[in-house]
Amino acid sequence: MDTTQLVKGVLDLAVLAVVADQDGYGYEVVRRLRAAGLEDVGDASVYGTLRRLYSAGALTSYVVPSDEGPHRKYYGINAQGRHTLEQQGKTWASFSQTMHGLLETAGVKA
Amino acid sequence: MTNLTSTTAVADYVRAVRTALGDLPAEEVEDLTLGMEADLVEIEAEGGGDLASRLGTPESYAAELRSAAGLPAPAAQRSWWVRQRVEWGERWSRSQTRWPWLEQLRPVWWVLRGLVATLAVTALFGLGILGPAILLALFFAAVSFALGVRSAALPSWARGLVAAGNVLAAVLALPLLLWGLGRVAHVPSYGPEPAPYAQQGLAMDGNPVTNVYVYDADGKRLSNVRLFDQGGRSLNANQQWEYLTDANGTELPRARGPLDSQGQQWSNVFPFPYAQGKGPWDVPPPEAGLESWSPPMTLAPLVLSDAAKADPNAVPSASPSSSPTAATSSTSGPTASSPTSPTAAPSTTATTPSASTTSGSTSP
Repeated sequence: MDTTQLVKGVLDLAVLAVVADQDGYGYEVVRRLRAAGLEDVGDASVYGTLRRLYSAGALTSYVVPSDEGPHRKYYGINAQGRHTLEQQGKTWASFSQTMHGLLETAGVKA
Repeated sequence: MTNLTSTTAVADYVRAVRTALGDLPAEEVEDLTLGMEADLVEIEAEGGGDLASRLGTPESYAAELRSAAGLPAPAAQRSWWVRQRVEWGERWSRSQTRWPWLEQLRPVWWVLRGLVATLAVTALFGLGILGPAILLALFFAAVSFALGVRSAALPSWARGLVAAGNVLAAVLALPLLLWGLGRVAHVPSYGPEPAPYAQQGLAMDGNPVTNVYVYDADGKRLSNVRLFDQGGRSLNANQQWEYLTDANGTELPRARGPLDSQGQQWSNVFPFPYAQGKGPWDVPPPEAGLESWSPPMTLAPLVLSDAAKADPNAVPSASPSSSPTAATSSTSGPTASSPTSPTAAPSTTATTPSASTTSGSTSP
């Protein structure tokens, strides 16, 4: 099964999770996701998600100027973002548990 | 990390993505792609193929970005205006990459378009090119500069207006500048324009004749000779109005001709004193800076043919002044009061007149 489709459904949650502890710029967020195992995540999808979460008020954003190169745009989580993370995290956890049980019943080892 | 080749490839990629997003509001595009360049430089520095093989085509990248950000897909049929905006924006950013100094020239353009606006207003309302136009130029240049500095912060309708103004200014710049230069070349001088210039008074081959020294056939000096042209008009000395100074630096008033007993001035009576108070045969000092010739007391006599000698007797009736031969002494000539004249033949008294004219012209 193509994980790309799965990732799409949980990308918001994944992105909120990797900026929960530390602010990050776009590619840094991509790297954290990949390091966590979401290797199929698309760069542009992450950027788009960051942008959408920011528009929804879940993230803050600031630009760090650079003397020698182009500026970087950092994203950080805010109170609303943490709340979203918590809610969606719970939803995901229960969903995941449900799937786990379902598969266990079917005799599939996760 | 920021070597030149990588940034060129990165700039190309970012530009292509921006173009693909071109139908979105400019702020949105800016927001979406800010920081992208730095990230792409980093990706490229990791190695492993060019950007397109890592990220896909800029178009697919833009499409993914768009859908993940929850933005509308590009309108199938973009309006002509949007296409123009996208195309010109791309052209501008391409030329910026190629000629980075273009960016630095932008303020020059801002000022220039202000001046073009001034010229346009001047041309439309017929203001003088000087005076109010200079203030207007300063004002327009300042406004245009401010618009340029804040162009990114302007609402999109205002940016559209500025863009239209830019096109208009670019088209009109050359003709208006040429027109303006033409106007400047013809700035009306203050005060009444002199009539098409013609020299006042006598001229010879186009050069002013400020004096005429007269000798008779015997080579003797004649003073107070009255000259007329073929139409009976006075041949007046060429009036020179510049000031004269003598060796001591004192100003010498220019002579305007000898006065007659009624106080009338005669500028067709020669020789003509170069300044008031000077005798007709006086030579201006070199400090006066005038062209001057020192007329000799006498010339070698001219031996005339008999026919020529006969002429003077035949002429009198044709001459405008009834008796030219006696002119110096008769009628109301400037030196009518001269006591030395009664010897009606001027040629014979050539040595004395200089004294008599001096008194004639200085006494008033």
